[in-house]
Amino acid sequence: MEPSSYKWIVGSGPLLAAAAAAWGERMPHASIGTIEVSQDAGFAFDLGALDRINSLGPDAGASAFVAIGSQFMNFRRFELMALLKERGFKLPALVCRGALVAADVSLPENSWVGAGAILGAGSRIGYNTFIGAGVIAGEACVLGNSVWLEAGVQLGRGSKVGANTIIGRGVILEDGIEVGKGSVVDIPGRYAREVPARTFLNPDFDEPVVVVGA
Amino acid sequence: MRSRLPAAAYTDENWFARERELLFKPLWQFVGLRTMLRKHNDFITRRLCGMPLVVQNFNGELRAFENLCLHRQKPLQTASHGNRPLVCGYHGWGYDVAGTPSNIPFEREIYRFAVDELQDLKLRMFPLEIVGNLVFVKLSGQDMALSEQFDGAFLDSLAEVSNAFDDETILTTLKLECNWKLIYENLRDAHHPRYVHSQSIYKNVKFAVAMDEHAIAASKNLAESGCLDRDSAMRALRSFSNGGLNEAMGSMPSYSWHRNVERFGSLDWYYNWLTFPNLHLASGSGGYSFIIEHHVPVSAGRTDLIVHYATARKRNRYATSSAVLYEHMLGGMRVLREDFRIMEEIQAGLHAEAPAARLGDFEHASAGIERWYADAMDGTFKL
Repeated sequence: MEPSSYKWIVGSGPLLAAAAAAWGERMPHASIGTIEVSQDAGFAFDLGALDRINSLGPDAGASAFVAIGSQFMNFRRFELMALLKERGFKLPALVCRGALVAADVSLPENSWVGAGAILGAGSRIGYNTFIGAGVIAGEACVLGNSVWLEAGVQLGRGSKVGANTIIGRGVILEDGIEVGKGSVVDIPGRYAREVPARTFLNPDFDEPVVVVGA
Repeated sequence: MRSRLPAAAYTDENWFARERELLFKPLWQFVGLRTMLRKHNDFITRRLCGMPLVVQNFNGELRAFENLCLHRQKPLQTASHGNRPLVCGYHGWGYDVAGTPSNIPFEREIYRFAVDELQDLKLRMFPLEIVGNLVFVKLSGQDMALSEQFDGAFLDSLAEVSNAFDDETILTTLKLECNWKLIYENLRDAHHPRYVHSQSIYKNVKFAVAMDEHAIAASKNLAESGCLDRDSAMRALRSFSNGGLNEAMGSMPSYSWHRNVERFGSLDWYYNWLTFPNLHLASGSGGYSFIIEHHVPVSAGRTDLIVHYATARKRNRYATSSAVLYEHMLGGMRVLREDFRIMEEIQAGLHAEAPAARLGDFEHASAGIERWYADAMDGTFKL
């Protein structure tokens, strides 16, 4: 049972409205407020928008949720999440209608499980992770923090997705396949081999884009 | 003025093969970044002029070898980069810094090479030079110091800017359907950005044509007189590579990651270095980050672009550094694609009877290079 009767949804774009609607279903008697946070030319958030919170902050029992896209390898969502945590907000996970989450799977802060998604038993989910509508994650999957799984992604049993990695539409990971940290897998298909960390499989490029060195 | 280069210079495979032998192989060519070769056993592989190359770090010494095992010609390193001893994965032959087999498993038992045959075993090694963080190799031709090909001040400038590169680098290979020369003619053309990049980089950097009458006269003189001997050809060659400050930027965006790196210089300018024949460095961020474009001719109508981005050196590690690099790659692609579309359209339109290009005075540098190139190709001088 959600403990708060106030919920602030902070973010931008279509996901802001989607999260507000989903939270409205989850908390039909709560007051749901949305705060659109814009960014300047240098991609800095305009945090003045958060002034609307005023007295309806954590002390008033309000909780929050961050809803923006996967911009900057999900670091922007994490940045907003961290800002809200610094202000004392709790950011409970959002589980949308029809999602089936195995009983032993815990959902940490600011994770979002889309409508109809299935998370198999024994899976571990990192904070700030977005699991799109209809995602199927087999048993014992491991998702790092700030992972983004687009709608319809399928993860085989025991597959692993590293932190800040984005898996795009139409991607299927075979059982036990690992995608390393900070990667993008955005070319549809079945993947039966590991994708190393900091590897970007993007249909706009002829070959993988890779980061080397530290 | 009418260009000296017929369409065949861009489309004919026999022409391309001659160009490889007479131009590319004797010249020093960029092969990769030293930042990718920092540690013992770090390596990169490239195919330049059809030659499979491996550049490998042996306890701090960089060596360039033909990347084929002497036993059965299997490539020694198969990845484009990595960290692995120079060992063949077929029968385990290992090689040392001199390119000689340091280990042939079961040599006495099953190979039974004669002593003189064993002494004869040595990988083909190529001259290698390092300028800052840029590694160059030379595949054939007469001895030629790097300083014969590049002016000393230019080498200093390359060293200075490349030493500012951070070790963390993002790279990929783009396959372009055009001749490599079109790309460099375009890079020397400051007039096209207002048309081709009007919705991207030109919004912030108003590239202007520099009508330097002295330079125009010098290029025209080269274009008309050509190179009478090798000395004059080398003098001209050194003038083809240049760079540094290019154009002031209209505005300088401020990104949070800027505070994590040691900016190269302090000016809000676009930097540009053209390194003849096929390396382009630039900074479109006023020295906070760099693009390194290595255009590798593959055939008359195909060029691979190995494109790298690096920020300036980090002051400290930060969590988002690889995301910063990926954003650079995504953003840079927009401008690159704008150019490639034009280059590929030109290439597709060329045919045996296509009219020669007509160059204006502002294209004087290309006109001079064309004459030098024509002289190299017809054997007036030999590199």
